[in-house]
Order: sequence, then C-alpha cells, then structure tokens
Amino acid sequence: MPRFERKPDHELDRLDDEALVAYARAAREAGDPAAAARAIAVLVYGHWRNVERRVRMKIPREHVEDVTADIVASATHSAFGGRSVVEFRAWLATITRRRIADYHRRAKKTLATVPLVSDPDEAGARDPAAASEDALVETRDVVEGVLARLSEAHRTVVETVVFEGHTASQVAQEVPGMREDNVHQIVSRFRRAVRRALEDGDTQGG
Amino acid sequence: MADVERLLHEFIAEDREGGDADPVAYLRRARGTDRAELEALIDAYLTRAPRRRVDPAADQPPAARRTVDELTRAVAGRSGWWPALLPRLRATARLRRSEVVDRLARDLGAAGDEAKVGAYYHAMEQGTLPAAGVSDRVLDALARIMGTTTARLRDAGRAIGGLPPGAHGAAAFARIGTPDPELLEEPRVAPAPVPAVGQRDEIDELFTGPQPQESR
Repeated sequence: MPRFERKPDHELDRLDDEALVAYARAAREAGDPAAAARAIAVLVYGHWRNVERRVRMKIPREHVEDVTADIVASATHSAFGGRSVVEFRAWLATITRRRIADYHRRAKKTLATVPLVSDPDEAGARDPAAASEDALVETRDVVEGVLARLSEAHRTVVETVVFEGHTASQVAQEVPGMREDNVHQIVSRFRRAVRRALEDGDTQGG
Repeated sequence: MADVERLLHEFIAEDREGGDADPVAYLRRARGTDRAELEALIDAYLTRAPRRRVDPAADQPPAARRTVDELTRAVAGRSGWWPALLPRLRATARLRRSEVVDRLARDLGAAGDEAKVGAYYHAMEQGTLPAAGVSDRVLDALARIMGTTTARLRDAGRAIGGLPPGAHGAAAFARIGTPDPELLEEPRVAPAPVPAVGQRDEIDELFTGPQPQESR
C-alpha cells in the first residue's frame, strides 16, 4: 500500500483544488477513506455557496439544492474520473452553465403550460426584457464574451476594478503606463458593451 | 448605470466580509437592463470567487453534507460512481427510493421480494455492492425507471477504477465517521447482502453475478 500522510484540516484548507483532489485520491489508494472524506468535504463546502448562489439567480428556489448538488457531484466526478480537468473551478463554472441550461430545456418540455415561477420576486423571476428562457440562460455568457474581445491589459483592468473592487487610482499605480482616467474609460466602455450585448441578446459581446 | 455599479460593489463588499450576500435580494433592487447587467456581473464575480475557507466540522447546508457523504461513498466504495449518481437520478425523476425498489422488483419479476431487491439497491447507493457483479438486466430496468441509459449506469459503475485497497463493504465506511445521521433518510451504511453458498437464488445472481464474488 502506498505511503500516505494525513494532513490536518487547516492544512487541507490551504491546498488548491487540484492538490485536494490528488490528496483524496492518494488517501483512497492508501485505504484511508476518512482522510479522503475530509478532503472532499473541504472541496465541496468551499465551493458550495458560490455555485448555489449562481444557480439561485437562474432557477426557482425549490430546485436550487438539487441542481447545485448535481453540479458539484458532476465536477467532482470529472476530477476523480481522470478526465482532463485543468482547473477545477473553471470546470465547475462550465458545468454550472450546462446544468442550468439543461434545467431550462427540461422545464420547457415538461412545464410548457405551467409558469416556472409564480412569485415574480422569487429567484429565477425575470423582467419582461429578458423573459425568454434562452435569454435567461445566456446572459451569463455576455460578460465573458465582452471580456474576450479586450486586450490582456484592458481585461486585467476590468477584472481588477469590477470584480476585485480596486479603485481606479490603485490600478493606475499598479499597471505601468495606465492613468486613472484611462481606467475609468476602459471600465465605462466595458459596461456599455455589456449593456449593449444584453439589450441586443448578443452573448458574444459583439 | 451608477446604481448597478453601487449594487455590485455592495454585494462584493458584503460577500468579502463573510456576510453570505444573497444575489437575489440585490437583483430585486434593479429593473430591466440594469437588473440583467447586475445579474451578469454578479455571476461573473461568483465564477471568479476563490474557494471559501471552511471548517468541515462546522455547520454546513444539509444538501452539501449529503453530497459530501455520497461523493465519499463513491470515491471510497466498491460501486464506482453509483452512490453519487443514483440519488441524483432519483431526485431528477422525482422518485423515492421505495418507489424505485418496487418498480425494480416488478421489472425483474421479483414482486414479493422487494425487501431483498431493496437491500441490494440500497447497497448500490451506499457503495457496498461491487459494480461488476450487477447484471445488465438490473441496469436495463434501473435505466428505464430513472430515465437514463444502461450504458451510462454501467460506465458510472466503472468510473473510479478498481476497488480501493481495504474496501470491504461496510468496514470501509465505518472509519469515515463524518456523515451526520440526521442527514440520512435511510440506515447509515448497509453492507451488501451475502447469501450463503448453495442458497443463492436468481435475485442474488442478478445483483452479484453467477458466482459468489469471493470465489472468483
């Protein structure tokens, strides 16, 4: 049996996703299912809330837990099944998108005559502007589509300001040759492009 | 646009402070294209958010704990990916385990033997039944009941590779010790039924193969 050394939870928590999967596999090979279970718990619990909240924006509340569980189980399956999963988090994002799309495809077939959500304020409720199920699923692709069309430097600016919450002056100090007014312009153009793509139903961001 | 930016920053700030920000509550504060934009941006933020630091021993959502339990049985058990897949398929098909067992027993021509069929099916979900011994007839019936394919079920049974070292039915799981009993609607771990040699019937053969696993 291969040599295997257990790690305490606080050390597991510091491992990246891929290292956690490798640790769980090593634990399994060493006949230590309890250690494998701890690693799986850190992986699943660590991603659960983010996946669950993404799902909650897209589908009715009563199905959120099942869909989230399905996504997390499928991603973990892929990671343990030896498929090429370069980055677990990216794979999780891909599976989340697919499962939400699958859910709406099924709902279209089975709930054709029943409103998907009865309370307009509940999760999954849509404004009339984005009422079609296709639009509902595809709005998530808009941001990635617009980002993909930016240069690497501009993409970094948008990621840092919009998704990491840094200020324009912080970014101007960190990125060589970037002025604060450039940062504002780049972010502004990005947001206008996102809105235009949403209004046009253009998931490629063009 | 300013409102969208403000709401996104508030959401991110609440999330980073560990406040478990609820995206739906933020979406309710916007309308029309603003709402669609906010949703797209929150989604992009959550996609990029790193794995959260967690204490596995602390309170977690019941569905998350159930998923960890199923995945652990899959990774450490003898039934491939069935412990993770079968409950998911049941949930999608909106079937209780007892309904699956009743229909499975009927499809296998074993009406009246639901208890025995149920014990084997339970062992498949628990990860204690070696997948290789389960016949195509059982998988055909399950595929029809669950709305999937026999090939998918067979493939899932092979998914993790060979048996993990030291996996001897329930004994392998006795050492896990993490599943919370309150999560489980069924008994915690059921070892696969082991019929005595010479007393095997057709149901045993359908779930364990023509010969006892131990004698192969």
